[in-house]
Amino acid sequence: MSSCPSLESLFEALEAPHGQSAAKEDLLAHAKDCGACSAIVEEHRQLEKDLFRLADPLPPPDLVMKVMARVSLAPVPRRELKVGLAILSATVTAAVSAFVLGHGQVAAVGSSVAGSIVFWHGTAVGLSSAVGTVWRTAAVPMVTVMAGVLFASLLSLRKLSGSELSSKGVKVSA
Amino acid sequence: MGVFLAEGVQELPHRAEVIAARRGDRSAFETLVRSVQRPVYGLCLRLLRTEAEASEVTQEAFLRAYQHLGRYDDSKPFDLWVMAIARNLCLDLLRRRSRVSTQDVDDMKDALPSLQRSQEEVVIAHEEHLSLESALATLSADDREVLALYYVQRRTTKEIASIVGVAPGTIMARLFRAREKLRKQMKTEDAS
Repeated sequence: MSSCPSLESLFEALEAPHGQSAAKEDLLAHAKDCGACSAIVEEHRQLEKDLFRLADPLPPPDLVMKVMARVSLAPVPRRELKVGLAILSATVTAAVSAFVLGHGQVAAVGSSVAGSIVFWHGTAVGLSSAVGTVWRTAAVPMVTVMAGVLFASLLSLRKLSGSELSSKGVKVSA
Repeated sequence: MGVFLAEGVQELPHRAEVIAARRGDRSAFETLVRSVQRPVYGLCLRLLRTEAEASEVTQEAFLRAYQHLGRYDDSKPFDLWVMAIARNLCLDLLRRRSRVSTQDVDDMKDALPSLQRSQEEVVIAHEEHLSLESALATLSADDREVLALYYVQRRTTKEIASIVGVAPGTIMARLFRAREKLRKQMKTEDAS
């Protein structure tokens, strides 16, 4: 007789609803012939019967009353969509009222925001154009210099943090 | 074909009550609580092992369910949703108290329903029943949970997976392992 398989694989084969493979057939045949395995399978079956006889305990008789007492103190649940729409409509209302009631002040704020957007847009375009020009004319020296600066910065930062930690008595591993 | 169509359009239980409760109808929510309180409380008691804590956590779970009804996904059963909330609360509590104890088994025995059988079988059945409950109490919360949901509440592996938050395929393996631990524990108790 072949050696006993692991119980888990044996039960997987027993409980698998579909499919008949050669391995599964072997396991089922083994479970049928082996006294030790069939005894364990029988014990599991009996245990399942006993477990199925268990029932959920009855909840305390006042459970529903206690739940409803706590629920009555809680605010009425609202749909999140409704809450979102309420917030959105309140915001729009506030914005429109500010525009209507504020007269020229809102217009002045809008003009200054628009002006700053135009200014920063121009600055960004100019900077990107400059970087593009330098890149096209001297890409290799630029990358070398940038890499050098970055490396030196990281090195000095590492040394700085190492010296601070050692001055506080913290052991730093290599 | 007709059967599949009928299954596809089959409405979940408690749907009307959920809709009414969302509109603020507290009596509809009370109906929901009455419908699902037993499995929710049963799961809490299996996990926490004390009636007072199980009752408290069940109340809290229903309160949270009420407060977050807007987040409830209508396509899933309501009882499974509340049980998932209750389960998380139980696990939080178990983590906080972080102790494995069997001291409350006697408390729980009183709460368990008596078996409905003929008079002459009652004594033996009750002994076996208590022995099984004692062995169950020695298992971990995870093992107790999966056994209680599958055997006591007759949930499918898919339903258990949705409560526990794992793939359905792992539930059968968990069930087997929990049952094997229980079998060994029962053998140890019999031997002693």
